[in-house]
Amino acid sequence: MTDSLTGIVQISIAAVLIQNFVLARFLGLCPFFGVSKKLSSATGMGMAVVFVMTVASMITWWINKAILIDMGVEYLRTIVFILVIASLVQLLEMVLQKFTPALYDSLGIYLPLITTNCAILGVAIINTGINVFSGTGYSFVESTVNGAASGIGFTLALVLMAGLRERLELADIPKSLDGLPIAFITAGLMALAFLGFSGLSFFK
Amino acid sequence: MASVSLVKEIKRGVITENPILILALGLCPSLAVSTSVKNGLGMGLAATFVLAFSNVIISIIKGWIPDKVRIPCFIVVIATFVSILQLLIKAYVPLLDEQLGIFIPLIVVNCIILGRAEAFASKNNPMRSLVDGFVMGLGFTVSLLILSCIREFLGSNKLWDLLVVPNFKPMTAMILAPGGFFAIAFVMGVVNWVRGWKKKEVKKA
Amino acid sequence: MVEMAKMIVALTIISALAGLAIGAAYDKTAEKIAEQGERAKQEAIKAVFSQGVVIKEEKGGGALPEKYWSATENGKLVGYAFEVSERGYSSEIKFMVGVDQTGKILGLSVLAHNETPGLGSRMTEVAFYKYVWYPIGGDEPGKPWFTQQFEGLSSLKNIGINKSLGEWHNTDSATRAKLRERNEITAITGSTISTVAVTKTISRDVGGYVRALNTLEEK
Repeated sequence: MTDSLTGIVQISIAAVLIQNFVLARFLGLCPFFGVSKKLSSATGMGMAVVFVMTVASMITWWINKAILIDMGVEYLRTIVFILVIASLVQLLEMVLQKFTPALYDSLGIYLPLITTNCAILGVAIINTGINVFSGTGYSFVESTVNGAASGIGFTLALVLMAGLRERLELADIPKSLDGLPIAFITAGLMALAFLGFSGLSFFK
Repeated sequence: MASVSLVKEIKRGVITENPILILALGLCPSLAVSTSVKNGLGMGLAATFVLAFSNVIISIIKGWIPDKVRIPCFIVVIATFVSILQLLIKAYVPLLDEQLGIFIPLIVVNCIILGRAEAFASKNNPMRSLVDGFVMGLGFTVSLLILSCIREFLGSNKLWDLLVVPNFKPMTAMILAPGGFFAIAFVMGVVNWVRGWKKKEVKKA
Repeated sequence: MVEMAKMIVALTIISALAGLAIGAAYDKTAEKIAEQGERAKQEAIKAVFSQGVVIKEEKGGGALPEKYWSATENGKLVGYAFEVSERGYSSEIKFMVGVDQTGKILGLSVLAHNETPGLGSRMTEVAFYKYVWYPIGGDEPGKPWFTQQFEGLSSLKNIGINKSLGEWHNTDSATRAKLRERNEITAITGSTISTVAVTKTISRDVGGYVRALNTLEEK
């Protein structure tokens, strides 16, 4: 096993806190602002994203290695990945509905929204690049962990945001800033706070 | 007549239905790449290219694709143009490829493009869809330019890599992630304020 | 059933056409893309030496990298160029370093990086003072200040990082001389990790290559 435990811990902490998908990488903003009005729906969406991101990371890693690189057609990556993710979401929806109706009831309505969530395609593409911690490509375990941790980072930001927005509802906000602008300012303050994590360093 | 409607279309794309500032679509790329005016312009033009071409193709093929697989077909068309664009950028402007990085392939999931395909191109003829793609792309580019001007000026005291104010100490945070959120909040706030003010004017009259 | 078949046929045709279109675009651009990469590398090699040198590709192996470059001027060897890379803050930083036989750095040029805009990405920032309202005339943009400060330092010793003197492009010539004497560079404000990545790689990799070349010559 070449995947050292430290490597995995590094990837997870980086993906959740330092390079948070929403607050540092600007991925998955549409659902972040769209579904963060209520805490309950934010939790549901977050769970669905963690689930899909993990599975998508595993599958796209394999497709990238076994099909795209081996056949020398890496230029088809974008189109293949988006098709795989779209069909994966469809398939998951069917499987969940059939075998675990309880889980489907809680996650089902968020699944169709996920196809166009750029965070999923984003993590798949990041996994094809170079892992900055080891200097080589992501291994299967590493990309799975990266997918799961990125999803958790997304959920963390989403749930925090939903909590803040529920409180903001009662606040007296200038009329022009009501709605999205105040949400952006809140997100900006959260991003400022998350900048503090960039001092967390395990590089030396 | 034609020129009058073109002006109207441009007004629709840039002002009344501005994809970022009014409809709040395509937020990820607009916040991520608006760190400098050059990047903002590059992203704007790239998205306009994909938007215009995919709109035309979708409006041509709309007649013979079954309704149920409509969305997957649209996504395939969009992804094709994104891939072609990616290759062209790598071949002719490699610096832009380095700067925009992952956000070039992510144009595929930019909600503006699928949104226009679904809302406009699948219902209109190719010519009108082309115009719609261009004006919406223009609106996207203009809002990116506004955002990136604010961020590049406040964050590094520069515009298009040229200094602006002597002895002004820039706030680096405006180029970092929080600055993106603050800049768009500010611009949207101004837009809302102007709209509210205009509504009042109409009421008075 | 007929509808199902229709759907499958439509999707297949569209995907096939898409694949063909992208394949055609790839065929047309593949050569150009490879050329761009090669040209960037050649330009980086040229940038690390003074003008007028003849550059030759050398085959390495062993303690040396697989491929490196040597530069000669009027038949006399002036130095070598090595391509090295190291992880920075958020990406792999690739750069080209030119050194002479004594390990003195002749020049440094960043090939590729994807560091945070406004922080680490300033390693390629050119310090020149031209204003938006008067963009013509004045100084022409020179080399990026971050890489320029490595010129004249030794790759065989550790390169130190000085955080108290401010950024190099704002310092006067006395400070620069002092820095050179101590084999030190100034960091990019707010991006120590990117700075360390570059200095560490030079002392470790480039210094090692120079030593290896020198022992080879002695034999």
